[in-house]
Amino acid sequence: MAVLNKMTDNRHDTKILVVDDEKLIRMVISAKLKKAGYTCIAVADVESAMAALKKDPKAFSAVITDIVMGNIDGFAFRDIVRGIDASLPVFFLTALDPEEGSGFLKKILNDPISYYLPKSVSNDVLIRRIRQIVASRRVGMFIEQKLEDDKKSMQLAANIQSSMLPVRSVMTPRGFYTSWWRPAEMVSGDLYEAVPFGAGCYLYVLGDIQGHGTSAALAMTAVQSFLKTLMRKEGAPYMSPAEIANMLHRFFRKNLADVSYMTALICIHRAVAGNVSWISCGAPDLMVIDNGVHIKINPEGRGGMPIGLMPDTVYEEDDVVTTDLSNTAVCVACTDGLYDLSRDQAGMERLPVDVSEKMLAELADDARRKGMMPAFFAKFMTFCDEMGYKVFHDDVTLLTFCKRLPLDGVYEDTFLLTPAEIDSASQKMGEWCASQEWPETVTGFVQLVLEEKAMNVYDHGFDDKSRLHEVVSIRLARAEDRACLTVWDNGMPQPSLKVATGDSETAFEIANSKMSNHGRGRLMMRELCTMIEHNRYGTLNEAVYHIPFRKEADGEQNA
Amino acid sequence: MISREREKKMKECCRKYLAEQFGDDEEIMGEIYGEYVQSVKEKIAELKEALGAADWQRSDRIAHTIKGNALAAGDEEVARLAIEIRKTAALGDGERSLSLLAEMEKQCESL
Repeated sequence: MAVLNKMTDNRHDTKILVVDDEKLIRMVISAKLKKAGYTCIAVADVESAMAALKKDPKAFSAVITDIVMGNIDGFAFRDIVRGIDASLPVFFLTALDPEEGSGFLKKILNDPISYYLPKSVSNDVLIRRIRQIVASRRVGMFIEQKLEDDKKSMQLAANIQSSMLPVRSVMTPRGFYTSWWRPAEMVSGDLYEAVPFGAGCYLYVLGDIQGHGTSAALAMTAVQSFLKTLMRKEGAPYMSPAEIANMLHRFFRKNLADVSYMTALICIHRAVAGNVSWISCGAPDLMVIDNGVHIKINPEGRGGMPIGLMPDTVYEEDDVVTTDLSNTAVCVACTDGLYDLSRDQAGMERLPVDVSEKMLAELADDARRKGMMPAFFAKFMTFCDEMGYKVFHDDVTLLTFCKRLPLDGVYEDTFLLTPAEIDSASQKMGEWCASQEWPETVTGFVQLVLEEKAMNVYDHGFDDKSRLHEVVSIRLARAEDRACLTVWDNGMPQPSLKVATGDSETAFEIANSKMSNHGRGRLMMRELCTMIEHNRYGTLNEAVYHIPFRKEADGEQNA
Repeated sequence: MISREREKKMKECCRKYLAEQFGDDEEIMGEIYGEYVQSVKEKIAELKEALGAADWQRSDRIAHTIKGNALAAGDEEVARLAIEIRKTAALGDGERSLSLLAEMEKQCESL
């Protein structure tokens, strides 16, 4: 309050620039302003005014100018002022009569921070107007600064939250999961945890703290920390979903009972055995998609109350659903924010549940068949966006997992974005190429392209280094006369483009100029690839490198 | 400090207006009034010359300045005459304009 009072009672540190070619007017206005406690600089022409403004653009809180002056009128002067300070209030002090019909009043009011003052303006009115406008500008600047500061704090909080979540996708010889986490505001009340254990088993927890914004985000970090600690305990992943729900419930009641509650889906996926045991604590049911069909797996409506809502809740083993999964089944877990996507701010046209589930089913099955799971959710969100469902009313988190069935002739991998992991991934990929009896030169080229791309993302892909826990997913396959290497990352956006490197020198140069800092990699990619495609799906970058099996390479293979 | 003699000579409407604006600050009132008197006399001479040369655009500009200065000093009568002169000058009516100017001069004789 004291800050606002200081801003509104602003006379002592307010400097006003007065521009008028009549000495009498400068004297009168200066005397009025000084009498009211303002500092005033009065000049006779625009040149002197510009010199004063340019000397210290932030020194003045307002300008009072005549309209009819020597070489330049007040409106042209205002245009120059706007080039220096777009928010500086300009008062036009004029003897022109609005009823004369010269249209000057309209010209003044064309600019939202220009004001009209008649030359006969009384002292009281002049001072009141200046005080109001200067105060209003200062409050506006103060709020703008506060919002900017808040935004920076929120961004930091968002980075912290993001760094607490598991990597976005993980691929192992037996299973695979991928995730999508999208706060409605900068920070989120959604959380998820994925813990591999035993032989091909995974524990997944997906939670949604009630509400969103800062309070939900703080509760999210507390729960995420608790989950991480819980999962480190020996034997913790072997607990049943109901036991984990009870532990979460006790944590909530003890620490967050007066703050919020959480809906959650807790799943144990046994990829090798081919089943999933799960409990819904007020969350949407787990979806199982098999060959593009959404299978209803909880007809009895089993499940429990949201975690932390009621003091005496106990989750029983009867609340747990166990479902057998075929080798082609894909499981999708989501928070209810998915159903809050809408076309408009009012939320009148929400994404229908049946539409979203049908889209998820089709895309998940397609992604599984093509070995393109890392791009699945991003593509889903891109479709939603294209259909006009762009408004997020709530945080959205999606988690999908499935048994990993290696596809013939297709190599897939997911690895952390660190130099050591990149090197190791390149080695493993090279071994696979050798197992497919690819020529050594092609294998070497593919490895070079992967290393160059991944290191480029590592070096330049993230403004915020705390996100370097991100992963890169890759897919490699042979398509007739070439190897196709697809790389997915969540780094900074790259423009979508497709360029045949051999077709046109100019096209490739244009493409290169649009790409982020590739350095020496540009030349190498140009030498090694016949085609490079860059696509963007939501926050996911997709790059496809086409590396030819050259005749000499095939000859080498034949030899 | 404004002298008693100057205060006595100050046109009543100006004295009243300036007192409203600046209260008891007689020094600033005197300075402003002095500047007004000097400027209005100079501008009347310029206006006479412009009207005599039938330079209506310049006449309008000078009359506008007189109007602004008169309003700033609280001299409503001179401001009114300046407005009238702008109107007649805009119509190219030199005779009427000069007649109004004579009236303005008369108003300013006592300044």
